[in-house]
Amino acid sequence: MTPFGHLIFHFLKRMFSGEDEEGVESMSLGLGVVLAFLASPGALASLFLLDKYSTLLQFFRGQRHFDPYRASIADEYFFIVLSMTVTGLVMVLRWNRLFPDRRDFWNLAVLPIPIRQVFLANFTALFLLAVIFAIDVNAVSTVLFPAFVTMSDGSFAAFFRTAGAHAAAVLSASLFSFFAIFALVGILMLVSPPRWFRNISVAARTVLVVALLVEFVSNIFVQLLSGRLPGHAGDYARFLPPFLFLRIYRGVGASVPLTALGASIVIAVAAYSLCYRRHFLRLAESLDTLGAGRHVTRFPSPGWLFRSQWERGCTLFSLKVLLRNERHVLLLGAYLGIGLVMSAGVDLLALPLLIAFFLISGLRFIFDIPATVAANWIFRVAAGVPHPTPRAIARRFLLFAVLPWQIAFPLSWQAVTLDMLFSALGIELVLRGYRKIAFTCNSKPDTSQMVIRVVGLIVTILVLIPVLTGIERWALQSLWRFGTLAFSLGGALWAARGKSDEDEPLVFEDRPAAAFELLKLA
Amino acid sequence: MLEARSLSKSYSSVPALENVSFATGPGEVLGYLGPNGSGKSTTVKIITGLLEPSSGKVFFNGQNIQDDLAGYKRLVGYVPEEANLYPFLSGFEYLQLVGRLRGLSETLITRRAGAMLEMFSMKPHRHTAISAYSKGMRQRILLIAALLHNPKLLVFDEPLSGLDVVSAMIFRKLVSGLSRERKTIFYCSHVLEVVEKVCSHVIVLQKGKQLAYGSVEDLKRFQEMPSLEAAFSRLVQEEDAEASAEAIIDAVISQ
Repeated sequence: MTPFGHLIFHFLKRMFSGEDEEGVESMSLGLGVVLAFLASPGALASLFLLDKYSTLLQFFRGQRHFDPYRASIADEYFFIVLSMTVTGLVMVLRWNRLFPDRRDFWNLAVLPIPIRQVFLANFTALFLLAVIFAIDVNAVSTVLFPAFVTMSDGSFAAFFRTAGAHAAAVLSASLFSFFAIFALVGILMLVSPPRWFRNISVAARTVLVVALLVEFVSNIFVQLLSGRLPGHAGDYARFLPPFLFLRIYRGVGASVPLTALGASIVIAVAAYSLCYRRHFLRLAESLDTLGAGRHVTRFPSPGWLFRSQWERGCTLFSLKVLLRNERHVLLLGAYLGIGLVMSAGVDLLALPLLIAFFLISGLRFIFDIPATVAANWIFRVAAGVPHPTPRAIARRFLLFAVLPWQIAFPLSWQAVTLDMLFSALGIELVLRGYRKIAFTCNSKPDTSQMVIRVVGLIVTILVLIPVLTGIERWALQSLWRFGTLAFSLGGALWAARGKSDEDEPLVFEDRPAAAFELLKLA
Repeated sequence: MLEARSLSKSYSSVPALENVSFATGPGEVLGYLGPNGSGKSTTVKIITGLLEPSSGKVFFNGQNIQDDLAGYKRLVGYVPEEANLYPFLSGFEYLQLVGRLRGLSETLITRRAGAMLEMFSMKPHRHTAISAYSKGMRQRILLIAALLHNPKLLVFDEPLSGLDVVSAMIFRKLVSGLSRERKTIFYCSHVLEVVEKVCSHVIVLQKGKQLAYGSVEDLKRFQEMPSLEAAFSRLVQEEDAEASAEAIIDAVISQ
């Protein structure tokens, strides 16, 4: 292999190494797991479509005039959105790897390799990654979806024509997503002052994650449940990138999306070429000006808010992780993005409950993801007898995050009281047995049941929130009903709080239960 | 008085430390020496309460540290070998976090941290994110964090790592000063010149076993060597350093 080939291979390996710029190990999944995880939505969605396109089922349903090509446009739109979302999310998550970083500088700048080659290798590695992911995400659907659509036709020519149109549409949509985000990073790097670039890029990434998820989740809900394109493709929607790429599938006006793709490639390459030397030089300079930049934003923390200095330390630490640590900001943004989609068109009475649900479950999930786990030794050596307990600290943190939203809506005091009680009960339930300081516990996220968890979350929202809103509506009809429900919730809250866990030891290592236990007979 | 009695530690039945014992009192600086993999870091982790020994006990002021680990940790200041700090906090915020976790008042944290940041020339950078700090700057923050709560026992694991000449000189004087203030100091290092200058007693460790324990002067006299470095080399050197260097040069220039 040539040195350039080695360099491409090196960058590809680094993209899966799970190490951030600080050299701290982050969540890293094997390539096989990632590819299997990314391929599953497309495969599942394709299988679900059998029901829609099966000629036998159409016969039993009495659908005599079903036009599969016309019906497939809405489904093609879904595959285009899926393709763009996956490529977009990969790019956003690997945002810091879009350009060689300080570690690359240390290791590669001293070698006799031209800077241009380093950047070109990085660009090629990213491009290869995007193509691999795009093919992986769409591989199953490229075979199954056209097969289902052309089932009634029965000719190979029709199958290959549909498969070709589908593959061209989804792959070009993926590439557009790849180059558009690349162009965005390049432009941000060119126009933003160096000391602000990091903050701007975190904000841009969060907005992108939210936008991609909003687009994807809204599409699933609106389209898969109703079988229609969002908003019947109103005037505004026709300018959305997925609609542009739908033209390739339909074979009408394909020049517009191809022009958009071409423009994104030109802008990305131009921005990349303009800023790569500047970026590498900046890396060299940043090594000589250590400590000169990146002042942190300070915020007040009045002592009366906290029961002890211990609580003050832990709470402010958690807040800073949530506001400053890129991974946590992105995850919380993604979680709240889904919440934003779900809240669209929801009954006013259900809105505080929905917000509380997302904040409580989202924050509780994120608490378990450590921030720079190698640095948690300071909590280990400084932890005396923690007062208050980690559970009490987390409880208050969640209450402060949730309760302001309960009074933000124009609802009666009874409704606000019930919402607060529901939220407090939810907090108690998610904090049962909690013995950690948020973000300090070295836990391995259990990714094996991720799909089940996501589906569980969606089902919970679709079932739990309407049920709770119904109960609340029933209780608000008379004072005695309200009193009964409030009293019951208060009792449940008291029972859920349980006994004091002052003596419980802190947990800094959290491993999921092993699937197999070895019998140590020796 | 810090006392270790017959400390042993094994990792998956591989011994890392075997039967190590020592004692050091207020005002004394105990140097802990040994080549890589000799068990120094394991000892440090046991002494700081981060690791439990497989056998043996550690006593501080006559009390087994495991009986009241939280109470013991309040008395210990620790500078670890690697400067693992939270990169998204500023230096001052990190010191605030440490002070708060140790239950110090805000006034005390601000006063002590401010004074020490000034002394270690870190004041202009106190509100800069740690991610932008050099290795030496991070090390200085660690030193300040270890001293912030005025501990009785100080455990330094390679404290000079990354420090510039001036900071290293300040640190050496600081260790002497702290020893005069009757602090018990456990000093783990590779820099033998500094150990010779600041430590009253030394322990030499190799492959988890205690090779020597005594005052610096006794060790030099016993080994009939002029310096601690020479005495140490004689104790632990398994191969001829000069011959090894020659072999490396041969490998470099070979065609």
